[in-house]
Amino acid sequence: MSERSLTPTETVVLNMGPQHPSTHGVLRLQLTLDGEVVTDCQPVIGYLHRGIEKIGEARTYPQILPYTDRLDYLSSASNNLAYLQAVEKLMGVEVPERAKYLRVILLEFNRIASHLMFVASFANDLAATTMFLYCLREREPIMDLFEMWTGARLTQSGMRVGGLAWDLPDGFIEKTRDYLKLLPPRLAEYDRLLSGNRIFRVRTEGVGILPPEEAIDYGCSGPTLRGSGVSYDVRRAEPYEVYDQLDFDVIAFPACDCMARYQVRMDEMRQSLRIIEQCLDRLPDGEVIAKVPRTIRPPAGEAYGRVESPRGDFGCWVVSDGGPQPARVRFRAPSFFHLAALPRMLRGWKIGDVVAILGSIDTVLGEVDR
Amino acid sequence: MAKRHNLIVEVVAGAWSIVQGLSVTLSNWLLRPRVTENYPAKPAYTYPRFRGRLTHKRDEEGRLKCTACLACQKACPTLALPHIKGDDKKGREKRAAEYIWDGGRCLFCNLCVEACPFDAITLGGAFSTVGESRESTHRSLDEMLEPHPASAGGKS
Amino acid sequence: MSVGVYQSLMTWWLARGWFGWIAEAIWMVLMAAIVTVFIMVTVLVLVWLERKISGDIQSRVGPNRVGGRFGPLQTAADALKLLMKEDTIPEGADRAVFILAPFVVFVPTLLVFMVVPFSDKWIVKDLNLGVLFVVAVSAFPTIGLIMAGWASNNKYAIVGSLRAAAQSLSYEIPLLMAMVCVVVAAGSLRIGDIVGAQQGGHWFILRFPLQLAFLIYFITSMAEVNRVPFDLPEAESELVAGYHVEYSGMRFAFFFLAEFAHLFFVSAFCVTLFFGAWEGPWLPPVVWFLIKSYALVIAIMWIRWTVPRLRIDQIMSFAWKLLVPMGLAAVMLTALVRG
Repeated sequence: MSERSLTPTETVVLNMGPQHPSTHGVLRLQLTLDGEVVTDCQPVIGYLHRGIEKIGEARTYPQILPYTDRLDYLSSASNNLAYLQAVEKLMGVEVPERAKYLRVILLEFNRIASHLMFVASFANDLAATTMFLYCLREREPIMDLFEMWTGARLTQSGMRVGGLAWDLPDGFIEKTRDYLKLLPPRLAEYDRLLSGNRIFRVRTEGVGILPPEEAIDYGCSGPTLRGSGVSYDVRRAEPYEVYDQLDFDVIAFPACDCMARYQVRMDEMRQSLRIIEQCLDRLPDGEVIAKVPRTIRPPAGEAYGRVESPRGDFGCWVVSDGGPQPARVRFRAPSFFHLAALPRMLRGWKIGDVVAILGSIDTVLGEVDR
Repeated sequence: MAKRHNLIVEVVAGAWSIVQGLSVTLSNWLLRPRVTENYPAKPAYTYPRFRGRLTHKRDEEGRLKCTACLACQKACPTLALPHIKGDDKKGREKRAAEYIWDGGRCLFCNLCVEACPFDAITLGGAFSTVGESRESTHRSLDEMLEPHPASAGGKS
Repeated sequence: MSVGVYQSLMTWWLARGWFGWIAEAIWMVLMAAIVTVFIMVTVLVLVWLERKISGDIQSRVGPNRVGGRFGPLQTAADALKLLMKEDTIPEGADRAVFILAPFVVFVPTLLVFMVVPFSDKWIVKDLNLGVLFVVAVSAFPTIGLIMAGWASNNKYAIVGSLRAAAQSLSYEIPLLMAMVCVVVAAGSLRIGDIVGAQQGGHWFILRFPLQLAFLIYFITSMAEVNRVPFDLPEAESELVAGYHVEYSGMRFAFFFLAEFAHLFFVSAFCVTLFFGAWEGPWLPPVVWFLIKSYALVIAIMWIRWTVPRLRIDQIMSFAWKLLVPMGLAAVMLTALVRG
């Protein structure tokens, strides 16, 4: 319409401001609109910056751990593990077998909880409010399990250097097995309510295309990358803990749209259930924490810990100068790179699609801004 | 003709998918129980390991265990234990006289509990830590002592 | 009963030699006032019902504190809260239009209840052109939406009101076609005749091509009321609150009440057109009318809490590419079957 200058039109800059029901945190999107069509988008971040990396330079190694919980707060165990992998590499500590299996259980439960939260908020953005409530209802037993085990529902701080802070409490394994039976029929129900729903499909299929080459160029990872058909998972590329001994599939869908990213996460939940079941079956006895000195003082050097968080490739780089406090702690947050790819995904779509696309890449501003 | 046939199939399939969704909602409406808890009329249930308000423990004779050794203060990441002072006794008899816990800064991370060599503190206190001013989140020693073993030790 | 009262009052009045039309006017105003009060109470009940039903569907309890275990006075408490809020008018807003918009939305929604047959003797005015009156007056609130969006001096509001205008216009056509089917089947535009043609259990929903008309009417009425899946003009998760984002306090309450009043109206009108209005055994006609209307309202709420929202261009293509041909087919079929 603007090419023909019979009625010259202007583009409008609309601010989907920091306070918005659908930006999943304090994210500001400056959208340039031509009518309803988005021609450009400029994400503005930094509203949740808390200086965690700077704080890390003034804290001892164990003291940094609770701060890492608060980065990607929907799956705090992944952040814990990335940091601890780096520290344990520096210290040369070997984690006991039982601790490795328990860590995997904690991680996979965090993955399920995070993906349930994703489905909930994604559905809520598209006005299927009931799905929001259903997913949170399914997430409550996981929160209860976390509370039984570590004492906290969301920011568990369940790990320590060399293993875990707590062993499993009584009754945990039974409750977990109950939950493993509870969730698959509920997931099938969600497929009937949401995934098969014509309106949902029409809103998400073909929307927000991110071609695989560009996804790799932007540094995307996790479900955003696997929703574009690239079957890359850190748990297979650089296995950590006991993932090389476990049997699970890496889910990828070739469609590159919002529906593909949503389906990747739905199927990853099922794979996580499989992993947890295998871990429970194979759980060895033993210690849950290795012998580490009272004051953690790694030799000078640097190490990088990498995990597959529910959002993607989460990494932590620790530089030690031999003292009790690190010289530098740096976190590589997957959502940061996905936000960089967001303008590419938004161009040419309408305002209604902005919400769907932003929801489908599942950013958490805590890790973007740190 | 094939295009028209496609449209009709699409419309019918679309309508059927919506009917399926409606059936899921209906079954949840009529068959599933309500999961809302009537808080605060019914107190919140917390598991034994729940990390709540800082509590000081007593030993078997009912004496305070904390000796003001400052291990917890050194372990805390957020400076949530601003003021700890022992009494005048020396050696084994020394106990804490003043102890302030800043509930506003506390992360409830449990590092202080793990650092304590005397097993004197625990984060097993109350569920609710709210106050109406910043100062009210500071708790002093007498507010944080667990009840004397003679009285009924109820945990919320 | 009311007719008997009316007759005796008229005889008494005319015996005194005063003008008959004044009496009739006063009687009409009285009936209209009663209907208005009834609608306001209904709106309060509907808001409570929506919150309770949504809670039930979502495995939670709705309001359960205000006024007893089921929270019936919750809406009254909310209305009181809205009354006590500060009345803000944004700085660059067009004051006259801003203040006028809620009324342009609210008043026609109440006005259109004047032709709804609550029972066999209670219809405020059985106009000869009842259906035409309904169609004309229920197009008015759209102008109010556009006024609200424009006058707010806010980009979100303007986007919302443009969407509302597009959506409303598009869905008028299938709505008209569905109503035309009923009019053709009944042979008259008068509501009394339409209800009369359904007497004795021959409801229009049971007559062959009118099931299609019912389906079209049901879907388009959800679009006219701006309910999910067609609630784009006020999409909370996208545009915060769309066209009424700058309204607060009692002005917002007017929009809110108008939406629920309109919701009740489309259900009541659907019942009138297709389900025989107040017909039913044993219970008084008014009770049957309310039961049927509430059943349809609950069905609309059930749909609202199940399906996601459509995008604006999908809404438009659904209207023009699917509903308009279906409406034309329905009209043709009805004419053929009747002729």
